[in-house]
Amino acid sequence: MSEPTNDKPLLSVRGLAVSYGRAGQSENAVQYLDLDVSEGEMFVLLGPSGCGKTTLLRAVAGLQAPHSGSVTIDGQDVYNSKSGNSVPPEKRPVSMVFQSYALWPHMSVAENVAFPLREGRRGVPRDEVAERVTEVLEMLGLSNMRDRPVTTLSGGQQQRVALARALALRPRLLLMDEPLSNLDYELQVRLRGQVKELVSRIGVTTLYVTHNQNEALEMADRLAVMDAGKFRQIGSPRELYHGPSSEFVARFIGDMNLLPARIAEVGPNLWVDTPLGRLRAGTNCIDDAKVGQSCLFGVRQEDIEIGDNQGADNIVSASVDRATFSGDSISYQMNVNGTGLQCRLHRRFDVPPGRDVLLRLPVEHCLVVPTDGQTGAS
Amino acid sequence: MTLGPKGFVILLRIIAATAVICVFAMLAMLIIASFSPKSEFGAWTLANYIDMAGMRQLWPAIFNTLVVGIGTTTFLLMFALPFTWVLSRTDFASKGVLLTILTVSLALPAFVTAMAYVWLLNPNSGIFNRLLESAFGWSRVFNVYSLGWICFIQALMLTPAAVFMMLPAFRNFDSTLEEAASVSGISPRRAFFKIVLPTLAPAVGAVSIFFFILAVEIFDVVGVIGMPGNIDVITTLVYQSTYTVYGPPDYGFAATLGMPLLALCAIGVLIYLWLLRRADRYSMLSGKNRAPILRDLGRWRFAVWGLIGTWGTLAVVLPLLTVIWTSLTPYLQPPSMAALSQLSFSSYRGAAGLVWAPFVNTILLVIGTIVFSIVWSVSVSWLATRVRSKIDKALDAIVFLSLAVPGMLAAVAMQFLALSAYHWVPLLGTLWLIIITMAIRSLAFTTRTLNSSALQIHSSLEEAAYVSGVGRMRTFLRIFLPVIKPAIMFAVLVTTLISARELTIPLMLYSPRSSVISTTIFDLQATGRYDEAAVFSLLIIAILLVLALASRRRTAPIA
Ligand SMILES: Nc1ncnc2c1ncn2[C@@H]1O[C@H](COP(=O)(O)OP(=O)(O)OP(=O)(O)O)[C@@H](O)[C@H]1O
Ligand SMILES: [Mg+2]
Repeated sequence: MSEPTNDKPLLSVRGLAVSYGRAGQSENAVQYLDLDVSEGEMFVLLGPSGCGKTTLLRAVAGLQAPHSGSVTIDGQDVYNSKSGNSVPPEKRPVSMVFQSYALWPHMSVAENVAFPLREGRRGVPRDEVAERVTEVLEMLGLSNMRDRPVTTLSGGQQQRVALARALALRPRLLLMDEPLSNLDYELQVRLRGQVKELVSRIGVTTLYVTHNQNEALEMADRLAVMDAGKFRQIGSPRELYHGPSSEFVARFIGDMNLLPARIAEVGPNLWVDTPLGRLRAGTNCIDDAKVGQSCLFGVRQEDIEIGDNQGADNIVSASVDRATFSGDSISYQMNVNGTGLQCRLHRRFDVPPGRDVLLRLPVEHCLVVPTDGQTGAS
Repeated sequence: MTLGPKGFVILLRIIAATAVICVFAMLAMLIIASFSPKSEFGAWTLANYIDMAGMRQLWPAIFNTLVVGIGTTTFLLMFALPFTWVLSRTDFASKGVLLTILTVSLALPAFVTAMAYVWLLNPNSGIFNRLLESAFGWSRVFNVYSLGWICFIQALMLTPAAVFMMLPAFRNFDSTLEEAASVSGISPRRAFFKIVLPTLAPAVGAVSIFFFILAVEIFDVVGVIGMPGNIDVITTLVYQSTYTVYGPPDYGFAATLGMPLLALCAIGVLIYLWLLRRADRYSMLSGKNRAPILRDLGRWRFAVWGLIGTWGTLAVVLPLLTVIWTSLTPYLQPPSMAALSQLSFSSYRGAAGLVWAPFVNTILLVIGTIVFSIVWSVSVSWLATRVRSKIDKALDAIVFLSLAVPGMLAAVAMQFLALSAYHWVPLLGTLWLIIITMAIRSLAFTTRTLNSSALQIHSSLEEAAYVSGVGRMRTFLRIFLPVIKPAIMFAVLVTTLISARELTIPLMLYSPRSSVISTTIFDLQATGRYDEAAVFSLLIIAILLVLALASRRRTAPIA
């Protein structure tokens, strides 16, 4: 669906499997994954808690030993189970931002940044160290606290030191494991933009882990949705948002109404039978859909509109069960012939509960998604 | 009984105040005594200080004390650091075995081990020396009467306590700090020296200082080895000045002699507190911890087994076998056919006649110490963690400062107090005096234990009771105490273990009426009745073993 834009990916993972405990004895936390991230790309791993995001990231860093597969970074074979080759983390051209920041508590801000440059194995010229430290502290607005002990910093400042330390190394691949999740919500939202902007300005290839879908959509050039150690779908934020290839992805990204359905007509126009009646869908996410096949009909809450044109496609008549005012919009719980439908409308459509309305489900925003267990388009 | 909020606080403050008064009285008495001529209360003189300055043994004793402190701590870290490391950060398969050996060794009081080494290694009649002489003709190979052996034996005995104290810091060490180094291109060796060691340094430093203080103040080993070997340290000088052949003991002079030790320990405690604060700050930073990655020991596990074997043999097996052997032979001799034919239980019969009073007294001592210690420390901890006014924090701080007063000096001070107050409160020579002194000494530890537990539990648990209409007293009894019960149980077990094997304080304060097992053993050894001393040692070891194993079960989730 979305091939890396470059011929030679910067990070290439093949058949990677990681398990805690002895291989075969326990379920793999990461199950035979393939992944290509091209140069300069911001690639986000998104998935529910425990799906193996951290495990995959740590295997790429070399902190966790996989039991099969291969990892190539910048053309260098850093792990290969066949040849038994495994480069230790300190010799891989990566750096990492930890969820807990992992700042060294006995060092100052500047020392935290300088230590890997000065004593590490990444061959940083001696006379360049001071310059780089100053530069990166400047970049992250930390210049005025360079000599403060890191134990005296606030959470957001610690986060920036962690990022500074990682960037100062000028890694080929930057790994970030939920770097914003320890911050409060406002700061998180503000930093998303800043981190994204900084990383793309520097142009460093980044593998970024989060379990927050908004963060993932906002930051990613491409993202992968993970579940139980497997990728469910890889693509750009738009591709995943508009064309989820499975029920899991559809449920995980965005607030989607998903209704059980059966395909009624295929061809240039796709029609499905749903509890709301026969509806037309603009996007088909099923490989080779056949008439009579059961599937899911999906439409996002924010895509539903108040209908006015009785004769058009996908108009349903609903009654308002409940309305929740939330400032810029109003969330409605609608009832269509006994089937519930959620939608979010602009606040100018303020309809009291009990009233009947006509809703339009815009064809171009309606999808047909395979139920889980079926294979989706890929 | 119903008490308003004020009334209850006042009640607990009164209880806590009695502890603080005792601590103050102890310190005041020590200072007053040092200015008093010949244990006479009320008269002032500098004679004691002048006498001390003129004493030939003073400077060597101070020097030796420092050597004992530094030497013991060094030997101690050589065992305790690898053990702690193995237990917390490696995949060593037999951690349970190591923990069990460490726990079992708690059953051997230091003075018993010291005695066993005297029986083994004294230059004239030591069993091991005699064996070497008869086998190879080498005479007097080992001489136990040396500073080196004192340090080494103290280190052996303090190892388990040091391991248990360092384990939490090592376990909680945030391994992402190491990982952050390794993904930043730092080699594992460099990360160990530049990241791991410096981060753990305050915790290890604090533990080292703590054991330095312990090493210079415990009397067990220097009493058994130093005195007959004519190796003076400050504590032996203090002891000897209260134990003169001619005339009454001179507690005033004893207190004066203790002043250098008091100064040393006070400095130690200050450094200790400073390091602890630093260690706390370091641990504050780490966020969500992942389970630490356990290092693959590989072939190093043989070295680990070697170290465990060496330590276990020297600290447990050898002393224990020596004590058993000595208890069965009428006089010190190496194992031989002739010796085997002389084996008998006759010393057990002899000891049986002496055992009853010390045995009962030991039990009373343990129970009394626990009651005083827990009642006091529960009150102090509640005030310091729940009321938290300046007064309460001051009470807590003063109680903690008692840590700086070595046990022997605490005993001297209390003895001086009892002597001076003899006509009003006849405490002199009673078990009560020993119990109160021991309880004061234990307060620093028990309040620390209870405070840290009480701080971890949010006071909203109790506030919920108050706003539901439950009174102070009832909330204290039914919410606060049950919630910190694990910490109380832990404090009780450790206090039991410590007071049952304590030698220093009872030895200074006992009279024939109030002798306990440890003082009985010390006297039997001092008068050359080795076999009976060995029998009593086995008795105390058996009691302690039960306690130690019970504490192992209790602390298993902690340790
Ligand atoms: N040290 C460990 N030992 C055994 N199992 C582990 C260990 N660490 C993680 N796992 C398991 O591996 C799986 C993947 O864990 P991982 O930490 O990679 O999840 P994650 O996607 O990063 O989750 P989160 O969003 O909560 O951080 C989980 O099922 C987890 O229980
Ligand atoms: Mg994770």
